Amino acid sequence: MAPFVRSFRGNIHRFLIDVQILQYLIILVGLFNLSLCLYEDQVGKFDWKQNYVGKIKFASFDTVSAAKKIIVATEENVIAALNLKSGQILWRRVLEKGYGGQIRALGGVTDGDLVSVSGGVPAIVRAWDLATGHILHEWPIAEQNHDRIKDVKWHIKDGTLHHILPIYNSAVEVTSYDSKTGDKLKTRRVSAPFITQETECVLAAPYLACLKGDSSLAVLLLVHLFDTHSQPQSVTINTIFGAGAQGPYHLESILGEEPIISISADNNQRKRILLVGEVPVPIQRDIVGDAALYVVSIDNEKILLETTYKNGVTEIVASELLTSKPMPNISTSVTHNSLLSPTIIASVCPRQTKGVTCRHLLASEDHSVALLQHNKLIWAREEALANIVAVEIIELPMSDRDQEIETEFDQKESIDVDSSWDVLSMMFRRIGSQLKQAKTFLQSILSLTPQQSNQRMDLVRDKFGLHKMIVLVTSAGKLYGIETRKGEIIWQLRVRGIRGFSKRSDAIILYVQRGSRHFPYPPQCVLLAEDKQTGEGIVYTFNPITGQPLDGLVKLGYRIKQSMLLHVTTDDFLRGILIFDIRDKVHVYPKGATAIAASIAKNTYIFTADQTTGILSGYSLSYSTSQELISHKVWELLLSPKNQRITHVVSKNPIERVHSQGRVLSDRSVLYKYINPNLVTIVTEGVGHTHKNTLNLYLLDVVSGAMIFSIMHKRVRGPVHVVHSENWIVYSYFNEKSRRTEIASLELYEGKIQSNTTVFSSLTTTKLPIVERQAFIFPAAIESMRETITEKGITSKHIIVALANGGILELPWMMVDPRRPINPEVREEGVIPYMPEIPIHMDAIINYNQSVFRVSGIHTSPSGLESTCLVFVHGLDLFYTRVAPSKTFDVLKEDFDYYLIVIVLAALLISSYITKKLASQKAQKQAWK
Amino acid sequence: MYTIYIFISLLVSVSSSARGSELDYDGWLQLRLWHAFNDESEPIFVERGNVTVSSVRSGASVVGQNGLLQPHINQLKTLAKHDGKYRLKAVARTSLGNEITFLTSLPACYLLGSDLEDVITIWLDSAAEPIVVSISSPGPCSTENPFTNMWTTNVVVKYPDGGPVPDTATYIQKLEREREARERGEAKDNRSFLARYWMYIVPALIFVVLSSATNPEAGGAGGSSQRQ
Repeated sequence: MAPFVRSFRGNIHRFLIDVQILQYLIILVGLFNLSLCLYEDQVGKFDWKQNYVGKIKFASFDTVSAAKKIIVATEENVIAALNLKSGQILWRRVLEKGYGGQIRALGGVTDGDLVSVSGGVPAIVRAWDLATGHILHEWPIAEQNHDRIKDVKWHIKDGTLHHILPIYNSAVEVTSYDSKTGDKLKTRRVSAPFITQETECVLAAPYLACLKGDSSLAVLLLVHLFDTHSQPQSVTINTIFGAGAQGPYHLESILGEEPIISISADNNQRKRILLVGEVPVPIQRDIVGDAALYVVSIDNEKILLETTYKNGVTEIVASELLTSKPMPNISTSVTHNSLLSPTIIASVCPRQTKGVTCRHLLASEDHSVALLQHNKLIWAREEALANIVAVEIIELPMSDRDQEIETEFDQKESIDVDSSWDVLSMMFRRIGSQLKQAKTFLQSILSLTPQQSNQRMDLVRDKFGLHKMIVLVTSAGKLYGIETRKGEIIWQLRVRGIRGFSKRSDAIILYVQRGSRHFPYPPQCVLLAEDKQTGEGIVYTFNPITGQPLDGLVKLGYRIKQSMLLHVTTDDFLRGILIFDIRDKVHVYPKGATAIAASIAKNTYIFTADQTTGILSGYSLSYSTSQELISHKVWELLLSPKNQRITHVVSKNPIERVHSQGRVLSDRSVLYKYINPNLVTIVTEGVGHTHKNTLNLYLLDVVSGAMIFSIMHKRVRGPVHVVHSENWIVYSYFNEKSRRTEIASLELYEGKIQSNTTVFSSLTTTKLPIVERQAFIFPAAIESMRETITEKGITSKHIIVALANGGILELPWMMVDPRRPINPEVREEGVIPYMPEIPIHMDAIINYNQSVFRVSGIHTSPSGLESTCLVFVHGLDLFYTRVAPSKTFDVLKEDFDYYLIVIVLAALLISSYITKKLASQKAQKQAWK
Repeated sequence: MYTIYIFISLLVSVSSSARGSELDYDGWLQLRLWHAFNDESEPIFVERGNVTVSSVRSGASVVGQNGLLQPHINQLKTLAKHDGKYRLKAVARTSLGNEITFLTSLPACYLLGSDLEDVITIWLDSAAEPIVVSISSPGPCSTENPFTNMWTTNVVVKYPDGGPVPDTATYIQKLEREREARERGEAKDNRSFLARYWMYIVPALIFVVLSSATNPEAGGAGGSSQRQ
């Protein structure tokens, strides 16, 4: 019995050890799971973030706090404090989106408390802590006249907020509140019967200045707002300008602490200023019409600053206000790249021991902000980046050495297959290039002067294609090139006089005509926009790597309705663009690509969607000749604007590739995907009483004009975000009934047999696809959605979702798969059982604690690695990172132990050799026995 | 699986009366058809016939159209030879009195290949107004004379499906069932670990003992006595 017991004990012991090993294994696996997200030391390694505030609306120097700073309020509904020395954001508060957060007034900084008025009805008054940006007090103003909110003027002074509303033909109503508590202090009515709807009034506290009449008999009336007994003072235009000034006159209040107004005349050719007070004092001096004015006070002396901009030179001329005596020690003139028609929006001139030094905060026409101290630009912020309208991510060019190799195997000659390869010349070229390489190598060894390169050394393509250039187009018409490694701005370009397509919600279109793979041809991008004055189309070409304009601004002379990038290239690898004007005429840009465009015209189709009329039309170019492209309409349909309004037209990413044609079911049969590259999703929102809060989604084949599918949601409303990729559509909306955000997904399948295995044709496929559908609850508000994209489409797709709380979620498409079974009887591979709610895992937030706000768009781009997708998120902030939806299956880990594997391999090799030797010796010995 | 069958049946059934409840309105619809065979960019429309859909909900329709004349067939053949498109203009009149014009087209050779058989699909929106009238033909592509000069036209009326909603009810039921099952299990389960899992532990033990018994090192009496 004893040995049995012993062996039993031994077994138990072994069992316990096994259990321990199992535990370790479980812990190990657990660790493995944890390591899917980012390690702490990887923060900022693959990603970067930049914060912006937007175009400045109000600004004020904070000179009362211990830490000097600039308080700004912007068009993006942001209140922020900027560091005086560096321009960095000290704190930033993002208010409500859109109309509800519009900042209407900002004040009280000189008194040490910051008060802002924002929103519409009700307007919200907030008092902020200057040092930290925390809200100290918040209260709403109950507005009496809802429709007159835009006529209300606000004045913040000495802890009191004045709400000033002109009542037509009777008086000006001034309601005063305690800006902290919101207590109504006083309501006054100052008689002003002359104010009508047409009267132009500006606030020059404590006066309200109104211009009555438009001719030379026009009168300027000044109403003292805090004195109910005073009579309105009147100043005629003639006393200001003298005789001979022509209308129309325009009234403006000059920024600064003093109540001063400027009146422009002669079609804004000249203007004069008027000091408002007990006795109004007109200054008898003409000021050029385009000068921006600001009044700053130094030792109780009022100084007028006139800012003019000519040929890149910004000139600030200071003069004493009353005497017009010039002050050359304050006047400056500065030339800097980041200034473009700037205006002073805040200025401060403290007297120091050395004398007076002025600091001016300048806001340029291209939304950039700069701080000018004396005549030196201290810092500049590119605030145009807070409003990006178009993004492209472009590969960087090869390094000089690679380019030499490329020229050696010049592509044009290497296609020559007719055995006419010139072997000798090729060899010479080869030897030549190798000699050159040897020369540079020797030079680098002997530390001789390196060859002057025409590009920055670090701006070259890397091995995995992860280092790229982001080309950004902003609504201000400014273009940027940002490299992806650190987010550094490499170049910037201003295109003046352009605007986005007004019919397409101010979108500017950016196409990559030639990538950087076609050395020696430079890469080329093209911008399509509208002329600011005429609304006609313009084309602007530039090099996306260096930011050099190529052909300059080309005015097209017609309005653009639709445009398209051709998929074929000309002989110099340039892809032409088809431009469709409002007279249905087709143009090709550049002209040289017409022949190429005509050669594929038989199979070229264009579609247009008009939001106002609801008409969608398709055109074919099949009657084109080689000289001219001729379009003819092949289909037309109407989404009646009486019932619905088109909100989204979403097509697939043209560079997308679908690797897998079908899906394997549990019974090993294949369900083939319906992959139609011409499929476009059209989302409409219902209008009118009966159809309000309905959402329609249509899938339309834009080549044949056939409707593929339509679906309708009741009692839901926007904002709608749509992602359309491969054979699926994922869209989000707000469910009014359940008061929650939902995500619905559709998936299209051809069925068990594929209609055409080689190529898809919209014209031959008449069978409608099977549409799978499912909806999910999403426990967060969505700002934007986009799918990931990789080079070959092998990697599974994830959806990048920007949440309203500042997070960016990487949501696997598997989670919104409409085939998730409700009752999992037969399990399919890679299908999770249905759960109505999509959980948000914190480790799927790809921007960890780097919250980004007001996301307006997400751009994804494939990298050189199949596993990795580059993600660029823009909005108020810019965020760039890379994601690997199927994990980095094609890259070795960073800490991969090369030495270990070499040692192991070597040891194995040696040991196998030795054992072979030993074995043969043993065999020999045995043979002797 | 059941949902798939619904979808398939939906697609197969010409009049999708099975889900007619999605449409709040019923009404009639009249289409006047004009077609063009000329091989030019500007179409020259000739009257083809008309289609009356008496009830948009059921999709019942009457098609009235004349056969093609020989010159038209010849024109169609030349169009097909040049890979051109047969264009159809449809003017729809709804019961509300609206008149909407639609344009649709298909490669002419498909019409010849299918002997003038075509399908006219009318898509309605949620207000029962037509939004798309499209023509399709099963094909195949051919430039030969058709066997007949009479049209074989099928009319299909389609309207939007109801959008999916998160299926919380089934899921909650499932959770309830699971919870109940667990509770039932837990009510009995207040025994010790050994008492609960003895049926797994004992065979495992026997297996361990057996394996150790067969082990040559352990060998001997213990194992054999066990076997007896």
